[in-house]
Amino acid sequence: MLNNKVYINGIAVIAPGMEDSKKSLEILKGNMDWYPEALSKMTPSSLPANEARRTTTVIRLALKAIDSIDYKNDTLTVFASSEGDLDIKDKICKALSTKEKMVSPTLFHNSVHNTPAGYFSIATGIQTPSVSLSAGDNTFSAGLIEALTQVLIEKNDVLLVAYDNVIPSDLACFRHFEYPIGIALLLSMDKHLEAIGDIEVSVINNQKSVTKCFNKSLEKMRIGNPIGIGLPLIEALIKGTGVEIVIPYVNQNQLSIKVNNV
Amino acid sequence: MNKTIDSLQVTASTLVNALGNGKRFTLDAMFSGSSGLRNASYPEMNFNTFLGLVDKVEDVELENHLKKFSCRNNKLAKLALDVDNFRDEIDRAINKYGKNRIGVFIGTSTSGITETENAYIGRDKDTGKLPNIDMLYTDNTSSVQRYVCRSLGLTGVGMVISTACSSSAKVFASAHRYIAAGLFDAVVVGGVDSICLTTLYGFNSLQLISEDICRPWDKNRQGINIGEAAGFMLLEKSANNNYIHLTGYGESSDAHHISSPHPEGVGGKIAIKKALTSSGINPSDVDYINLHGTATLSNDYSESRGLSSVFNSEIICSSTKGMTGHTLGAAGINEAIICTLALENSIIPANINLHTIDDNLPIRVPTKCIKQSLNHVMSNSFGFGGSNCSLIFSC
Repeated sequence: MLNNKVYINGIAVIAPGMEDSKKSLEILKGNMDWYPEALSKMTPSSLPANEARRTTTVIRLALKAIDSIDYKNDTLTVFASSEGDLDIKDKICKALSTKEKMVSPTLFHNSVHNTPAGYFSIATGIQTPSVSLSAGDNTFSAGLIEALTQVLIEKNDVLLVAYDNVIPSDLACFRHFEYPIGIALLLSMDKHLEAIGDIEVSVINNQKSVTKCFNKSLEKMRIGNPIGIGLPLIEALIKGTGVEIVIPYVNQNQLSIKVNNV
Repeated sequence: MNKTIDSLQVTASTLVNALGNGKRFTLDAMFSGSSGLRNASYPEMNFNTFLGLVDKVEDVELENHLKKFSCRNNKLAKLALDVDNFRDEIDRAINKYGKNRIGVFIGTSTSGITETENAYIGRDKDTGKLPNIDMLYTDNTSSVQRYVCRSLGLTGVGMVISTACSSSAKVFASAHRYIAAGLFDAVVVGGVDSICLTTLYGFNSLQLISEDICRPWDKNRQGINIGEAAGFMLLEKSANNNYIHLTGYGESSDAHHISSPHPEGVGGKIAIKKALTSSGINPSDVDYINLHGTATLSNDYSESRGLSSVFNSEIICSSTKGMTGHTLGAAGINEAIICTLALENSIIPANINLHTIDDNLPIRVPTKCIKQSLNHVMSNSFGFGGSNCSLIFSC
């Protein structure tokens, strides 16, 4: 299907216990066990202080994942999140359940699914197109396919960031995520100096076994947040050569990803 | 100029909005200049405004095996799937391509949030617990795409795009890319956004809701009327000249402000110019532009300035939001289908509810419909977060 090699020129993972990039690399190489630690406030360097003050955990999670990626100012962007900002939805729904129903204007304008994309473009001045999407539990793979089609058809670098925060307490009994995760990938037709590897992706509808995390301690995160299904790809990019990984995709399809590192 | 994208054939479409269930009601309004907006009430809404409500959405029953998707948004989606012979057209496409070779891309801004709002309103006073909701099948942004796939029996690739008011315009750009990349042969694109308290009170908090019927381009405009709509199109990679085609798209980001458009319409202008380039046509080739035209001061100024930097003053534009209201995440598909109806029926809809034109806007709009044959029409959709998309449809 997508029989083209696409280079991965940058990767980043933000999750509890994985904010330190050196430690994170050792975990993703399988040299260290992962265990959760409290996340910092994740202040992204790209945002001026006055903008940063108005951001939420979800916005900072997305932007912090991008922070360490070396993208060009003509990059296209894909923001993928199953739930968007449920902390905001929780606050708005609480306000709507009162008699006065006073919704804060700031909360409302931060409530759209593409809010992190909006803050990213304002912070960087980048006016190129940006897609914000959701595909429920298959959001990471949907984001990856959207990014790949943009690389191949728009012939441009694409920065993909996939992120989901934990669910607020009132809603956690209806849908539960164990940990927040943000994963960023820079995809390109060209191999940059800092290239990590290349991938060839096909959509398959025969059921293969889904690839688990090589580092068994990461399995809790892979299955504990929709974005976690991207972790075996990150591990393979960092560690493996010539491996094929399989991750779930929409409508019981799967993505077969051939990963080569460089 | 040479076009830079392959055209996609619009094989079929369906539309439900405040004007009625099925495209013919919207077409009637394009000729008569009537409005579907009403000075209506909505449960738990405590201020006065006009709304573009679709009749009896709450009475719709989803299919027995899809009951867990029950929410206002998916009920609205079903209303549209059930009219305009859309299901028959999908069955024909399934026979031609196979159910896994047809993609489904839907735009929505608030999905099934009404279920969550009602759960918070119905919270148990003693225990503090919320009544049970199935978030993944109702509230989740992707819920409507999964519902549409199952209701139509499609198993191909897809997703929901949620970029506020440009959502169901941007689905066309993604659909084009996936077809060009060979991921499928045909695609259902669409948009579904239903009225909810979040958008009603949210836009009210930004002082953007009009008590009066909305009057795009009018000096005495007071803001938007919120509407709801569901619309779908079946697009195929084909060059049959008997059909209308999507011939161009352009997308951009304002990089200006999270909820206000750039005052000079810079982001909109980039999207418009990209759409023209991809379609391989000149500004003078465009016969009609369906405006984003929300009737907020900031939109009308920004959009008209962006347009006047690309088109000459003769360009014919109108906003149809005075007929349907602002249908937010469904605005892109609602107005894309209005553009295809304009091409098919040689009609430019009037910019209704306009009494006193705002002389500060450099682009003029007709207050009566114009009957003339059209070759190329453009639809603009601009959203919160500075997300812009322009589409071009051609005969």
